[in-house]
Amino acid sequence: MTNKQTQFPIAVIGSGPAGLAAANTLLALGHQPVIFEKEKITGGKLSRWHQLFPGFISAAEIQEQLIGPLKKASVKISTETEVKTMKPDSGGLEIETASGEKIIAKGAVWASGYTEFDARRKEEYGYGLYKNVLTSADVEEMLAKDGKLPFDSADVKRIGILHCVGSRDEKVGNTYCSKVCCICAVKQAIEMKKLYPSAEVFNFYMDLRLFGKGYEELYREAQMDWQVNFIRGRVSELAEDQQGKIRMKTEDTLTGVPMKMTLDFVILMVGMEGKRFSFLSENKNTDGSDFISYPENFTGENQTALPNVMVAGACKGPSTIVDAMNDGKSAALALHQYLISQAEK
Amino acid sequence: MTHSFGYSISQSRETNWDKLDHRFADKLLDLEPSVRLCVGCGSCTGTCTAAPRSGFDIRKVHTRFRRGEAGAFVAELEKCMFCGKCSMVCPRGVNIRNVMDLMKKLIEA
Repeated sequence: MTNKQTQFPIAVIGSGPAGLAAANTLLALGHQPVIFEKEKITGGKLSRWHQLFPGFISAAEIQEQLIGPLKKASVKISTETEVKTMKPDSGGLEIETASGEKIIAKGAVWASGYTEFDARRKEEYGYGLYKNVLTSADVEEMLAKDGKLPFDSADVKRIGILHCVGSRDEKVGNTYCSKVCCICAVKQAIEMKKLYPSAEVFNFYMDLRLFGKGYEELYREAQMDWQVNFIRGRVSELAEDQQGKIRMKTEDTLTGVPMKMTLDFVILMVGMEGKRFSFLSENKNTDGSDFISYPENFTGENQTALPNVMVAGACKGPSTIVDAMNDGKSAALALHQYLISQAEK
Repeated sequence: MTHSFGYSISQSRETNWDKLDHRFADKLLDLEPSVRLCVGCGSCTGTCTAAPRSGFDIRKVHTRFRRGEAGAFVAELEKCMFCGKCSMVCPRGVNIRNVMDLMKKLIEA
């Protein structure tokens, strides 16, 4: 374990949308932020996505808009640097990385993001066993990389999209709604119709929770202009036949009849999961999730147990990219205000 | 000689998408595309003049028609009085009265 001490003005933990937006705001407020990223590449989950709902804007473009100004200002981004813990220090804050490096900062914005639900935990959907079952994240990565999926359009007649995989499900311990999967499913359904125009696309949902601006309109567009079928019913099981096609079973709850259907491939809309960091908050969430709990008091929603650490983005709970970015900006401002109030003392 | 033991094999109540005939449904969607916008809210059945006394469920009938079970409820369609209240209340702007008319015509044809 090294005992190297480095003086940094402000640390940003995580280089996803929330962290990058926070760093940009800190920069605009005259601070010199330093970003720590656990992974090899910057951008968080955003770096793996293809196009973003509801407007089909390229994810790479948004990432460039966030990283560009930081590069220009020579903001340091330390990749493969995982922050393990933080504690108060006479200089402000002592940050310890997984490799044992210690860093002193005036304050920090914590934006460590979420983890994707591991679809193998829903064994009845056969992810990892059936080759024609993908997750929504797999689809984004494949489309971002190659612009296509590994299925020949002549073979694809029916595509199934399953909502709420790992969300609103006591059986996997996640009772909360992951918020973005419904609209992402509508978006991916349209993308599937673009890739496979002669195929039928079926979205199986429990409730459609399309809360954001332009989301309801995209749903309408999917129904009307892209002929996407929405069937209300949670899929109970998938089974692979000898040709690798997927046999789906559900109840079509709008007619009140059990339904089965053969699908050529299936996309599972995986939800979001959190991770607790006891040094940021000891409190438990009322929904039992492991996201970082924060004061749900409207005005102090970026605060943590450490006064000079603000928390932002999807590490607090399921969040869209826009919401994560706005929360990052808000956290940066809250930290700025705190540092000013301390300097005045 | 056949014996009756008082029980028989029940007919499947399952919707098997692979085996249903979707031609009627496709034709309906072609002629009245607004039916795609249905969200299954039930406003139409709720306001239906025929529903309380006849058990007519326009929401369910047209959904089953779309699923490819066109022939299953010819008698049901006779319960509609074509008052058009369903079209007036639909929050998605589906022309349900026309959907009813088309379903009858498609089955009769």
